[in-house]
Amino acid sequence: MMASLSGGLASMGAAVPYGIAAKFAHPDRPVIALVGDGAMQMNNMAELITVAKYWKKWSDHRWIVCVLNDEDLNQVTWEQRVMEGDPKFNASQQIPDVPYHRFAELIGLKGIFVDNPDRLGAAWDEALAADRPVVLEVKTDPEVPPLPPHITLQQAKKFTETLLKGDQREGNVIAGTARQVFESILPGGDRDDG
Amino acid sequence: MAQTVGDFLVNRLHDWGVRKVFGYPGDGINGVFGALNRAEGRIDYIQARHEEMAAFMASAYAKFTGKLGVCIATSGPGASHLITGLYDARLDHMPVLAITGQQARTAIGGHYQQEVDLPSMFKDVAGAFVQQASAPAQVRHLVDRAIRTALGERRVRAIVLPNDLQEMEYEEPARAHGTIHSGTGFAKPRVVPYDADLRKAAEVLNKGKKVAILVGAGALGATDEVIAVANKLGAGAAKALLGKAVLPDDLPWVTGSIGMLGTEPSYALMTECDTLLMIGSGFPYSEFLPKEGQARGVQIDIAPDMLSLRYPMEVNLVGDSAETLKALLPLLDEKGDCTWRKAIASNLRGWWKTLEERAMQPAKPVNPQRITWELSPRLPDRVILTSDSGSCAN
Repeated sequence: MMASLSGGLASMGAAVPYGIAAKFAHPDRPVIALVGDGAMQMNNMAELITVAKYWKKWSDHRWIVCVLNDEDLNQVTWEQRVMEGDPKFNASQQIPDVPYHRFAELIGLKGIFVDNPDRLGAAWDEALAADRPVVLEVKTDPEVPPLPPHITLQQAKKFTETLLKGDQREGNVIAGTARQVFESILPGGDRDDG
Repeated sequence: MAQTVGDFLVNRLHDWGVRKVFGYPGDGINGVFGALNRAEGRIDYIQARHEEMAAFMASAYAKFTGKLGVCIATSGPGASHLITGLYDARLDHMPVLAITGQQARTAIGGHYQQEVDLPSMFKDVAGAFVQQASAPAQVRHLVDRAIRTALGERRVRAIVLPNDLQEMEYEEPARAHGTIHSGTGFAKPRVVPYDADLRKAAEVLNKGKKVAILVGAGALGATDEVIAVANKLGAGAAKALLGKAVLPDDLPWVTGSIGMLGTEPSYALMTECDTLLMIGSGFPYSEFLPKEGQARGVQIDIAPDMLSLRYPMEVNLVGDSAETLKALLPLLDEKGDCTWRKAIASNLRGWWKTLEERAMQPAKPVNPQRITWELSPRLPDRVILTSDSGSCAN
């Protein structure tokens, strides 16, 4: 296995061009790219056209991009909540729902759409057995929090509820709470200094 | 027809072993594209939709092959579009060469259309070697130096070619004062620390009872050596994101990712260890490493500027990971006690259950963690995985 991403720069939009370069480096190896909907809309949808142009030259045709469609610039939304203590800023975070799997079909790739978690396994099997590159679009929940290590599921649920309540209100009502909740579970926060 | 500067450039790239070039055309670089066309496939040109994507491809190509990545773009907006992808290569220490066009030499400095001060623009990302050619006989050493230093220093380099120059007849440098007579070729050195320094490192590692290893991209290609050293030391190992493919996750002492969204066993490994061995990693978040003073540290990195940067190390070794670990191995004592590894393995069993529990939590409609939970057992052999930045990488 090989694996990479934009590590030091942590730029958006690297996964699809990385996946394409992987095929030009090793055309006989299968490639899987995981991409958020933000990066797809920023520039990676256009780059699928490059996949459509070249895939027949690759000896192994398995090239899969899995798009997490949650209509949210999710990582930064969570950072707004937990780092700033702000509610989600809808004007900046909410992004349009785009049928990525249908775009794939339009340009000659295979599109698979999943909105039922129990179908995920079969969808991966189908994508890995396809005779051409696949856009596997999964409709995901933006309110599942990315969790730091050593936080229990119970803590996580409470934490999420607290934070999401903040989204319903005006202004910075939850600023104090969210920051406290988060700091208490981070290294360098209260718990570890105590 | 005589060889143009563009033809010479393409031939010289070929001599250097370049077989793939990622790019986007434009009239500022047509002299080189014409030459690529005349070269009839000796170098594959790969057409991206946008120069930034071409630069990401060059960076990733370097990562996945260990060879030079090359991207090509026109003057002005084409060149400026490359920048983000080039910074990606720069920050992950990848050898990438950017070749761009420029306005004609007679127009430079004239506020001409699509005229951008490209050497200044590339100066930060391409560091010590960004050059704009002004004469045909100069192009040979610009190419040779750009590529040799890109490979040798694992850095980004940029060559800017005014469009009128690309179409001129190429001239070899005259045997005269003020000319440069360069050649091609580069062989990667074997970089291993002195024995005395290896012994110092071994002394620290041998004294540790709870050794934690952190591997990054610099340890790719040193899998066997990392495993051998870890087994001898009875160590656990965490993996920075770029080092994900260094070690398989099914080893009972590999704790997986580290950091804000890393695993709990990695967190425990770092907070409880008494010795830290860092191999080829620039993992940025020191708060997820041991507290200063908690652990004695040894670091191995090919780049001196990455040493003792995240944790103050007692022994700093400049070296290739695989070669250095090989040299270190005979100096290490076999640790008889396996208490530390048992604790790690027990943490890991709990963690895999937690992961499953998290992935199986209901969501509206799909829990994103379930996607990778389902993918993981289905990953084909020899797969190449890439991820974007953000929640999808978590």
